[in-house]
Amino acid sequence: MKEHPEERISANLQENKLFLQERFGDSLDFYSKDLTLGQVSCCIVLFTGLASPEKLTVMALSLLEQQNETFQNGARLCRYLLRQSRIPTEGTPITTRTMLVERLANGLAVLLIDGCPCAVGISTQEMPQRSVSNPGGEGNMHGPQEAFTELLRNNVSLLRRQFRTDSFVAELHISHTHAKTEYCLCYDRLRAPADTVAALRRRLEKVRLPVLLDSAYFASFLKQDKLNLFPAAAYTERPATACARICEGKVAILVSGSPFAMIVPSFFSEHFESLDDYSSGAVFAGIIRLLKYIAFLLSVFGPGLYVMALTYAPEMIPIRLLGTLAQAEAHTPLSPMLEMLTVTLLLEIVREAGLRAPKAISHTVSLVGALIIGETAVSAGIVSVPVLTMAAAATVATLAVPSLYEQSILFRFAVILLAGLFGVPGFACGALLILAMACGSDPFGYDYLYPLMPPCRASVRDGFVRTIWSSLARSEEEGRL
Amino acid sequence: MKREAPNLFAALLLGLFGNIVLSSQIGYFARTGILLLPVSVAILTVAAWGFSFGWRMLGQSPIMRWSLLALLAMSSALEILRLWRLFETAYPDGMNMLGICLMIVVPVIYLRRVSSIAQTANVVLAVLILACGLLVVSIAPQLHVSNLQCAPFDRTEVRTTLWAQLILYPELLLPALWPGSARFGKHTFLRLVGWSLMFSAAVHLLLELFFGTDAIRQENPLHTAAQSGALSIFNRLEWMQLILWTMVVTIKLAVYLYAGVRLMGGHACKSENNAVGLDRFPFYFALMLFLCALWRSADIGTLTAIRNILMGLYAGMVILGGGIRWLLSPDTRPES
Repeated sequence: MKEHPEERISANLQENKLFLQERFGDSLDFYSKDLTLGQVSCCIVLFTGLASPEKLTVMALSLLEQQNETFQNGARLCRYLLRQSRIPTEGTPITTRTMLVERLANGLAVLLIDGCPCAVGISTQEMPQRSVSNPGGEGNMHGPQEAFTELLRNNVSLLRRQFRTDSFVAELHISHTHAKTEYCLCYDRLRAPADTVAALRRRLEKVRLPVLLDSAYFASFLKQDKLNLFPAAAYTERPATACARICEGKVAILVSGSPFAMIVPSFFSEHFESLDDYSSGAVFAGIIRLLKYIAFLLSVFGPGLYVMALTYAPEMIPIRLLGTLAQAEAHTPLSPMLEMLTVTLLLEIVREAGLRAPKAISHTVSLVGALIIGETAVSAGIVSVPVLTMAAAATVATLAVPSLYEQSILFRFAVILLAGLFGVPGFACGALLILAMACGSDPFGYDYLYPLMPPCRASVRDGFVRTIWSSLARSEEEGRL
Repeated sequence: MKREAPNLFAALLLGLFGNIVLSSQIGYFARTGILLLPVSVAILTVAAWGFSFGWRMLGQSPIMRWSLLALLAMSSALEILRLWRLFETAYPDGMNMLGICLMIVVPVIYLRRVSSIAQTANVVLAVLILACGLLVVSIAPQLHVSNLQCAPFDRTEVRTTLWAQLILYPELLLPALWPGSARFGKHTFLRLVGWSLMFSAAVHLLLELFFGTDAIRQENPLHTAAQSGALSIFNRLEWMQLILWTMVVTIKLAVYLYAGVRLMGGHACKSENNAVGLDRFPFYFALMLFLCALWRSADIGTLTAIRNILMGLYAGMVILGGGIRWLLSPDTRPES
C-alpha cells in the first residue's frame, strides 16, 4: 500500500517534534530530550514506564559518547546506528508516523535525527509486569506450576523455552482494533497442518473489533455455526498445556494483555483431559476421565431426567424410591419443573454473587446462600429435599468440567424446560439438540467429537480413557492432526 | 480427524434400523427371515444399485425430482405420525401432535449440515446398539428357546416374509442423490441392505424368543417387550426406547430434508456441507405440520403400505426408464 506523504517521517526534526508534541505533549508519561550527536541535532523520545531512560543511557548514549566518529549529517548517523554500532537498535528504520507511534507504544525509545527522513528504535523496554505465578484456574497436582502473564513477549518466551527445535513459530500480528493490540500465533511448523494455520490466519485477519482484551474475543469469529453453543476453542493459562497442544499440531493464540492462550482447533474430549492424566497411572487417569464424562452427563441431564421421571414417566422409578419422592413432593406447592428451575437459578445466583463479591464477604454470601436459604426453603416447604439434592449434585458435577461450565448451565436449563413441558419427547429433543450441536461443530474441518466418535482405537487410546505411556508414545504419530 | 467428505452411511443405516424397530418388526418368524436373507439381500441390492444407475440417466427430469420429493415429504410426515401414535399408546393425553412435531423438527435445525448429520448418526447408532444390548439384558430372563417355531414352512409364511423384507425404503434409494454417487459400487448398497436385513432378522429372533407364536400378532412388540425390562435403577425401560426412537426419526427427517434440498437443486458440491439454509425451516415446519394434520386420523399402516407401493413403482420406473435410455442412446451412458 502506498504511504500518504503526510504519513512519512519528515527530514526536519522540528516538524517531527511538533507532530509528537501535538499527539502526546499533554501526556504525563511522554518524555523527550534534545541532544547533539557529533554535529547532528537529535531528539530522544519515549514513554516512561514502558521504556527505561536508565537503560537508554547505559545501552545507547554512553556508547555513542565513546565513539570517535564525528557524524556530519543525519543520514550517516542513521546508517551507522543501524548497521555498524553495538547499540541494540531495531534492524529496520522507522519511516512513517504510524510506525513511530507503534514503536513508542511498544516501549522502544526512538531517536529522531535532523536531516534524515527516518528514525531509529532502540530496545529499552522496561514495563511493569506481574511475575510468573501459579495458575489460579487450572488446578493440577503434578507437572509445571507456572502460568502465563499479561506480557505477550514473556508468554512467547515461556513457550519458546519448551521447544528446543527450529520448528516452533511465533507469528506476531496486529489486530484491527482501535488500540492495535498485538496477538501471536504459536505453532509447530512441522506438526500444524499448513492449511489450518493459513485458514486461521485468514480468519483472524478479517476480524474487526473495537477492542481486544482477551483471545476469547476471537472465538465467535472462528465458529462456523453461530447458533452452536459449544466453544470453538479451548483456553489454558498453563504454558505446559499450550506446549502439549502445539505438539499435537494445534495453534496457540496469545493476545497482548491476556494471561490465557486460546487453542485451536479444539475437540470435545479435550475438556475432560488434564495434565495430571498423563502424570498419574493409566488406570486411575482412565477412571477419573470416565467420572468426568459421567459428571458432565449428570450436570446436563440429571435435573431434566428427574423432572421428566416425576412428572411424566413415574413408571421408570423403582417403587420404593418413587414412594419417597412422592412423599417429598406432596408437601411442596410448585411443580417439579418449577421447583427444579427455582433451585437451579438460586444456586447460580449464589455462585455468581460469591464470584463477583469482594473476597472479604464472598464466604458470607456462599454461607447465607447455600445454608440459610437452602435450609429455610426446605423447612418452609417451598422446595423438596430430593429436588435440592439433585440440583446441588448437578451443580457440583458441573465443576468437574470447568471449561464447559457455561454450556452445562445453559443445556441444563433447556433440558429441564423441555422435559418439564413436553415429557419424554422433550427430553429426547433436548438430548438430540445438544448432541447435534456437538456433532455440528467442525472446527477447521475436523470432527469435534474426535477421537470419541466414531468409535475407533483412538477412543480408548486417549479419548474416553487413556492407555499406558508406551502405547501412547507408539501411536503418537497417528494422534497428530 | 480431518474429514474430506462426510459419509452418510451411518445415517442411512440408522434410518433403516428405525424402519425395522418402528414399523416392520411384525409379520414373520425369524427362521423364515434368516432363510430368505440371501435372496432378499441380493434382490434389494440389485434394485438399489439399479435405481442409482437409472437416476444418473433420468435424474435431471423435473417430474422425477418432484415425484421423489413428494414421496420423501410423505415419508417424513408418516414417521412423525407413527411416533406420535406410539407416544399416545405409551403416555395417553401426554402429548399433542403440535408438540411432537415441534420436538422432532426443532433439532433438525442443528442437523442442517451434512457433517452434522453424519456425526450425529454415528453417535446415535452407537447409543442405539448399546441400548439394544441393555434392553436385551433387561429382558434376558424372559427369553425362552422353546418359543422358537418349529412347525413346517408354508407358502403364505414365505410370501409374507419375502414381502416384508423386500420393502424398498427411501434410505436405499437416497445414495443415488448424493454427490459422487457414480463412485458408489454395489458393495455400498450390499452393506446397507445386508446390515439392515440382518438387524431385522435379529430383532425378529429376539421377539420370537420373547413372545413365541404371539410375536406376529403384537401391535408394538418391541415396546411391549421393553415394558417388561427392568434394571436395578430403573423400573421399566420403554422411556429409553422412546427417546432413542425420537432421535432416530429426527435424523431420518434430517436426511430426507437434505435429499429434498438436493432434489430442488440446492447446494452443489462447493458448499455441500451447508446443506439447508435456515430460511427454509419455517416452510419445512409448516409443511410437516400440514401433512400431519391432514393424515391425523388416517390409518398409518395403510398409508405406509401405499407409500411402499409408490416407492417401489417409482424405483421400477427409474430403473426401467434409465435402462431403456441407456440402451437407446449410447451417448448418454455414464463414464463409470
